Amino acid sequence: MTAVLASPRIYVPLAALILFIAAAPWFSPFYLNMAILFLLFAIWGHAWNIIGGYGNSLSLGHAAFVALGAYVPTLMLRAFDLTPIVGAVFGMLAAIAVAAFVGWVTFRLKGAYFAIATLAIITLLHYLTLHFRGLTGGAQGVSVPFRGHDPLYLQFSSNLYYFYILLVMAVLVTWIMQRFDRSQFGYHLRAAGQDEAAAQSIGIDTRQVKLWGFMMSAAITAAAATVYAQFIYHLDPFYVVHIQLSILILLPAVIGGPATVWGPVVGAALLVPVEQLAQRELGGTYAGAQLILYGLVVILVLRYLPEGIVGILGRYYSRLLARLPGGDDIGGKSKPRRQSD
Amino acid sequence: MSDLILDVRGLTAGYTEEPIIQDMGMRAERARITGIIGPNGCGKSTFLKAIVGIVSPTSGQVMLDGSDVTYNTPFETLKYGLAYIPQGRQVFADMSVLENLRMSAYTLRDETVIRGRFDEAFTHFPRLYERRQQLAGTLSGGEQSMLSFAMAMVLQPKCMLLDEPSLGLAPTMIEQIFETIIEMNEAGMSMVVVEQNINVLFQIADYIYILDSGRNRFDGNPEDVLKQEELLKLYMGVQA
Amino acid sequence: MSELVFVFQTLVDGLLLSGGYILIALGLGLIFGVVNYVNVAQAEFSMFAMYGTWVLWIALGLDPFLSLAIILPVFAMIGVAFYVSMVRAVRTRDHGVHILMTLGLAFILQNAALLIFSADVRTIRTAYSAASFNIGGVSINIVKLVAFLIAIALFFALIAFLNKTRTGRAIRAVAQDESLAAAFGVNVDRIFMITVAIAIALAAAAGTIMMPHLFVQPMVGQFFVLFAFAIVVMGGMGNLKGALVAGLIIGVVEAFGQVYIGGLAGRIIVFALILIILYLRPSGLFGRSAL
Repeated sequence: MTAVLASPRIYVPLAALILFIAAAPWFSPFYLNMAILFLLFAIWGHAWNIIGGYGNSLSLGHAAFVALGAYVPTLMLRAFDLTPIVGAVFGMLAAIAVAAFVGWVTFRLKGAYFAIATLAIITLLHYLTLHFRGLTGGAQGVSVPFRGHDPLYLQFSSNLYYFYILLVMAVLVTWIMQRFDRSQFGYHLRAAGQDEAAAQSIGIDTRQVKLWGFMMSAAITAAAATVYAQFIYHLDPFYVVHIQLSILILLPAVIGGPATVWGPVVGAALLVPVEQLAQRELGGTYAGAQLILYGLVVILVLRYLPEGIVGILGRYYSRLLARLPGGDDIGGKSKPRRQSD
Repeated sequence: MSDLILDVRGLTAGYTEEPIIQDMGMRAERARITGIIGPNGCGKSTFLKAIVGIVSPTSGQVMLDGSDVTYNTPFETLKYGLAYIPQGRQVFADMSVLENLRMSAYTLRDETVIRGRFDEAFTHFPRLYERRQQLAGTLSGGEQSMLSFAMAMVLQPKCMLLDEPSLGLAPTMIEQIFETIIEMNEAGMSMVVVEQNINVLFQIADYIYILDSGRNRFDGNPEDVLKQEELLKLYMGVQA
Repeated sequence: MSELVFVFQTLVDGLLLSGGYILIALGLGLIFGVVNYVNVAQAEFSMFAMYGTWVLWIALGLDPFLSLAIILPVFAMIGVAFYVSMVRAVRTRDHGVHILMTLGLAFILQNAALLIFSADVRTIRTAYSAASFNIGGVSINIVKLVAFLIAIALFFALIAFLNKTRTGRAIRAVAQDESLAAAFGVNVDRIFMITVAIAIALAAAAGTIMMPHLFVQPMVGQFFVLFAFAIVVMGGMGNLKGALVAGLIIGVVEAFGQVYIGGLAGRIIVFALILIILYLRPSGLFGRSAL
């Protein structure tokens, strides 16, 4: 930890973090909402990045893990009066189970099969949610029972509390990803994603590594989704259990920089405000215009910046650091690492 | 006087720092069979690929019947009359024999010309005519070899480059393939044959090149080459 | 007896509805098999073709089936534009890149449709929309029957084109061995372009023939493409004949699920089937045969 703090690379994120914490109480409801969504999509982006970025296995099904993390604790709260803090564990377990099943079926196959299978799982879950109305509320969705200000049930009088909870989670997950990025597990997953045959030839069980990565990814996604459910308090199957949300989850990592620690954070910091502002400005008359912009950005980034935005940003940042007093001797060591191609 | 169909000079190809073939040359006479031998990995295949343009040479010159074809694409080289028959009997496995021939005649538009060429190919390979409706992938190895010959013949090349036609074939099939080579040669076709199976090659070739480590090592008539016992032992094992 | 008639009725309904899905799946399979490209936005072209058919009907009163004569060539041109702008440069990169890029395109097309046509559901009801005839108690809707027959006719036309024409053979040759085909003078890039144009035209045809008995709104493509993927997985990636059979099976499965279990059970079974097939027979029920 002290080693991390000693590196000048951490100064800018740290300063941004402190500023963020200090300024939050003065945010207007619109910007507080935006900040919460930014944190949420940064966490989800990190989670997706584990399998989609490092594991290079395109998951189109992460909304399924959001759905399980949101629905399972909420239904348990309704049925057994169980606090979502405990319910979250069951949501995560459900997500891990589904990930294990899908991964087990598809990680022995090549290419597009994983993407298709994850597409099938979110679609399946969507129709299951609609079909079993009695349990899930069907198309009407389901609400978290209102309890007033009750921290033990993650219900608060102000959204600021959700902001701080998600902030702690986001910092924690980013720290985990920082560790993961340099861990043996991280190297193995990256190797399995980039060249499966080569990874196998040096003794990596690629199917196993991807399976663990996918399960970890699912668990983190579900955990954040439980908090999210309390924040929105009404679960709409056409948003929470829908392929569209899967795509919104993968965009920060893809655009920010897949298989990098800061890619999902930078991607979410860019996309969420753009989406929120565009929705506020264009929403009524030009509904969907912001998503056209999203589509264009995705196509252009993939075509011309396959390393994502942090690839470029990282280079400028290193150059900046090198100019700081005492920065040049560290500059070489802390150059941005080569991203996956 | 010698009449050259193919004149290759100083051909170098591969990576800039470490060329696979270096400064290689070969002169193939018209209506003759020129053989190329050498140990595994000596650059024989790369040499042929560089001649037809699958691998682009970094320097050197390839003259085909008086025209410079050095930097042409494989298809352009083919149009000039140099057909390349790769290792491993490359055919379209999920197409019938007839469809394979049709693909080889893709650039010919005149249906009567195409028919004529097919007839010619089928007189050379009556076996293929019997199997014309069969999928190429279900043919035997020898038949697939014949098919890739026939596909090259359809374009009436001036010269054929064969990369190890005997590779992976049963002995009877090898005999058949070499009979075909002799037959086509007697009909006037110039041929360059790369082979590991040197015993057969020595019987049919008019002139032989020995390659080693991407360079020319020796060349001469089969009789001269056979006198180089040291070389043959060194590069070919004890086959000779 | 009446139970038997009911079974047949369900069977016929399922078969007749599968035509459009089969055409979308054929296009997906064709692009995958020849160009090795995964196009997730395939059915967004069907969606736009549905709007196109609707506009021609509203503005000119053109019969939806006759509008194929305009829709097919127009969407073949759109397919060329799609190839040049979205496929050519990234063709040799990961399937993941193809999927993400075409997802981006799907976002653009869906929301463009939302801006242009609004979220309202649009339908075409012709004078003969309700017409049907009866065989032994099984009622057959004319509009659905015509749509199905057109789909089957287009399937056989495609197979004939691939087998009997010079360009069709070149498409198959490129699918089997790109470099060998190039060695015999096939312009591979041009073949890819033609293949994508045909695939997009097929997707458009699917939209047009479904318009008289279904409806269009900006998100229909999302559902169509999922169904098409189910067909492609079941039939074997790139196996066109497999896609036809799988399409018929999936149409029937959905119809029986819906009728006998009710609600969305049909769809649930179809998407569960994708996972089951990927587990049991990842190459599809009919194998991954080349074109």
